[in-house]
Amino acid sequence: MADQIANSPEEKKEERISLLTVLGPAHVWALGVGIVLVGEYMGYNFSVGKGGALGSLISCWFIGLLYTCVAMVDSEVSATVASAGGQYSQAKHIVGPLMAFNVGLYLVFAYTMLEAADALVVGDLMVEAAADMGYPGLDPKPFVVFTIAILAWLNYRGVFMTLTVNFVITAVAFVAIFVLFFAVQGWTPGVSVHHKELLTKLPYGWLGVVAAFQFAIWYYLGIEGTCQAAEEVRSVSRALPLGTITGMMTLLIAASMTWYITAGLLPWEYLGVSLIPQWDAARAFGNPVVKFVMFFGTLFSAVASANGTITDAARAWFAMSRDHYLPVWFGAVHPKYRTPYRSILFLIPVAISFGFTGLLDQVITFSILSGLLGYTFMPINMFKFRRQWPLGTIRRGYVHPFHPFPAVTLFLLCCVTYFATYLGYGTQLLAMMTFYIAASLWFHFHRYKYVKRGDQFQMTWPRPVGY
Amino acid sequence: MNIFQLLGILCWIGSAILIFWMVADFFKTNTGYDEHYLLSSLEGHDEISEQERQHQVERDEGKG
Repeated sequence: MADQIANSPEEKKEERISLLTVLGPAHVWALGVGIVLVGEYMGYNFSVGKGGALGSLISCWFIGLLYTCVAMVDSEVSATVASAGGQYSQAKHIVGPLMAFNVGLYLVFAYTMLEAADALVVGDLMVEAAADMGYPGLDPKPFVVFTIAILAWLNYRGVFMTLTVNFVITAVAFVAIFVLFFAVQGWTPGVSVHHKELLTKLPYGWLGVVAAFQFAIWYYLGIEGTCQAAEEVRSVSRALPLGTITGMMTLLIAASMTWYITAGLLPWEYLGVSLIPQWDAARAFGNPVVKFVMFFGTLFSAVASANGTITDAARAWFAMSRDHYLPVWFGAVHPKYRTPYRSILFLIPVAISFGFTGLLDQVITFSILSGLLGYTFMPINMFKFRRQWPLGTIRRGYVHPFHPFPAVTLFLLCCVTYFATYLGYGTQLLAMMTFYIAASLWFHFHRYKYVKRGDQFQMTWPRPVGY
Repeated sequence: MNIFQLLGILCWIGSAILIFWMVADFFKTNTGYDEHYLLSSLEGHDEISEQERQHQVERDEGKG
């Protein structure tokens, strides 16, 4: 691997540049949980508005099952296909170029929209804090832009520092949830949490529970982003499954605790529309220290998420460019910082422009739908992977148990979630499908002729079974 | 002007400095290095196969 910066044009031609392999399991955990944890501070509560508090809890666990299947299925493939493209590279090797192009776009849009949503949360948080302190009417835009700018700069400067910072702020945000739990004495119902009084029957019946699936995704959306770090991890076969699955366990605990605390402090009608429910719960509790802690918990979770999504979106864009699926110019690596600097820079105005819309639920929906399309691809990918390269034909970094049940379960839950999305956001769902179909047509009829078909396959695998 | 408005102004200034820094470094890097070198990275290697090859080399060296 070329580590040195060449001094003369002749030397430069002989050497290759690469991303740095410096990350460990803790960084993988920080990337995955960091992207997701903001969902435990906001966004998930829209599922309460759809299905009531109990409906949100039911959907939280079903979607938790969906994501557990995602973590299992994705860990097997990503531990074997070690590339910055993550699921894009998996699709390229296992399914084909058109699927890969679509999956790459899903990744870019899911993470860029999530980044915009995180920046919006930071802006909204500052507006709420200012109003709380007697300064209403604050403009959120400078905070939105600064969040994106400083995190893009951190990503530009190096992945090790980026994810080390992410580890620290993610850990603080995770601990803050426990601070709130202990402050409200969550183990003693009736003292501060009043589930008996606040929990109601399902306000919209079981259809509401299904409708809640869409926003319950927000509890866990992004954990699959760990595989974008595959090319920069020191030991892919160990670090990726370890970081991803421990991250999923962390999120299951955080999601359950989040629901328990906020559903016990706030009536579901208010919880279902709150922009920053954890902080609202802390304000309802009334302790200024807890309010202070939850302010920083919310802030850190949003910043950690934006940080991780910049990392992942840029790498997906970079990986696609390297294979000529997008203009190859974006596939450059910075010679000093060893980051995909052009991709990082390019996506900054995209995120800022979506952040400036201020439409949090629309941006979240765009992200969720793109992610959902990616999750639908995963079971198809898994079946083809096992069929074309059965166990024993290639060395796998990790083999997930109980196949095909996780893949089948994942597919079925994705179908239910599409229906849930259609109930509330049918127009957006159709618009997104139309967009991806149009993009696929562009790729097939225009872009694919630029792809170097042999060069894009880097895995030294035997010919697949049946070929 | 209250503290939040002041923070807002500082955020605008900070954003401008950071974005300017990145754009300046972007142009400096583009002009200071060969484009072929900047675009020379390859997709992640097949790590497991490389580890096996390495272990085989170590075993062969052990036998030798």
